[in-house]
Amino acid sequence: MHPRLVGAVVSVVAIVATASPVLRRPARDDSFPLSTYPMFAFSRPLKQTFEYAIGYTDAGERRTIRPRHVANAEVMQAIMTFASAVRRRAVPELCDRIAARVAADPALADVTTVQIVRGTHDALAFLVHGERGPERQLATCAVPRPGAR
Amino acid sequence: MTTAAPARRGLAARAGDWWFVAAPAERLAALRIVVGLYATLDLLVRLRLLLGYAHLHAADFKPVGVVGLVVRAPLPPGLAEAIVVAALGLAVLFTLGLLHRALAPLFALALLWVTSYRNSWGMVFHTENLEVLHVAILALAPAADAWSLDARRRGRRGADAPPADGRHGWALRAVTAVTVITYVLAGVAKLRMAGWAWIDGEQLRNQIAFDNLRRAVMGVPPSPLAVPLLESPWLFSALAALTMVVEVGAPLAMVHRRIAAAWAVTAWSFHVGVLALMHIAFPYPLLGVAYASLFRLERPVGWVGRRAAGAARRLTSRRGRPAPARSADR
Repeated sequence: MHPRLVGAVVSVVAIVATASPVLRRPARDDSFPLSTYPMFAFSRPLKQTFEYAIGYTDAGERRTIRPRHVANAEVMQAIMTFASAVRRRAVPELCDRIAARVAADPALADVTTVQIVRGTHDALAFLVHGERGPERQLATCAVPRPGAR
Repeated sequence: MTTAAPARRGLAARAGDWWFVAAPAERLAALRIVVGLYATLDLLVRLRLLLGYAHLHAADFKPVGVVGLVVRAPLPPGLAEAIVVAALGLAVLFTLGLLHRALAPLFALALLWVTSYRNSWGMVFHTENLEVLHVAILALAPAADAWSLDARRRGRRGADAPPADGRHGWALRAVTAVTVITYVLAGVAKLRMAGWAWIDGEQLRNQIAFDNLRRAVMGVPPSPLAVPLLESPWLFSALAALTMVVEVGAPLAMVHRRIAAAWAVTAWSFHVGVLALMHIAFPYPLLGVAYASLFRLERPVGWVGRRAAGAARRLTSRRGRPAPARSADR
């Protein structure tokens, strides 16, 4: 095939494909790699509700459960994993999976219980003044430790 | 009518000449090397993360793009991991320019699969889109006409180095056009979802606050810069306006080389801001690779290549030199 014809075809296909998401709804019809790029376009109130996990020691001390205990190192992947579990009514199963990962983490050796909660926080109050909002418990599970009763 | 037809033909011909502008083979080759090197390092650095997607919970699988067209359930973990490793190997060959016409399209497909698979677990990221699109264009372009193992083999057979030609120019234009379109789409999404009110900065501030809040709750440190700035709303109005200028004004980058340079610097600054305020890294633009097609890349890449070749020659000649004779009285 003539090199100029190849160039014309590849160029037209690349441009039309890349621009085609403009015909889709930006928020609902995102895809990959042909994206609508909605990432900073969502309207977000400062007060937000979302799900996450908390670890507790026997003494009732609170420990942070990190994204790698939920899915992988990505914060957003963890957030989506919680949202998916809530949608599928599979929060207790997710709690057990997180507890198993916590059990394998020496840094969380004192954690005996994992809770998945739905927290509502004001972003400014939390970040600037350290004020935590209300949290509602969705599931609780024990961390499986060898020898524990 | 008789005068309009030649005028139309003239316009089409001028557009064709502009798109197929003669460009040196080395410029396109330099872009292949830079994009290929980025892709190789990206796959290598994130190898553990990418292999880990093979072991996520099947219930969270939500295939997107090409993955959704091929499968409805996750691949067997061994196969998913093998494709990641194959993509890494093909990335190296793409960078070196070996059997480009056959292997580069395979690399483009492998990279498309690996990144689509990564995005198929409920969260669509936006950090790899341009990389995938650029690799696809370069894979179908004569990007190994120079500075490649293919070119070296042709040189040994006595073939001349290819002259500057439109077949190298179109690929550079296409890569730039795709970059520009993605920025415009991001601007259009903001205008469609929030309207021009997005420029008042409140939505941007709230997004930054929300993003940092989620990180903090998950035990990942929020941006130290964002926390004090969140109490200065006027700043976000300026940032929002600048963001919109970068996104909607992106097509200007195709008009003139100097405008392109100014736009690239501004767009790069936007990503630096996102990194500083949200700890979200878009490495492809942050390292400048997304904007590489806007510049005469053959100059810096050629300089680095000559230095590397010189160092390699010095090293081999030192190794080939006989060891100095030891003196008898030592």
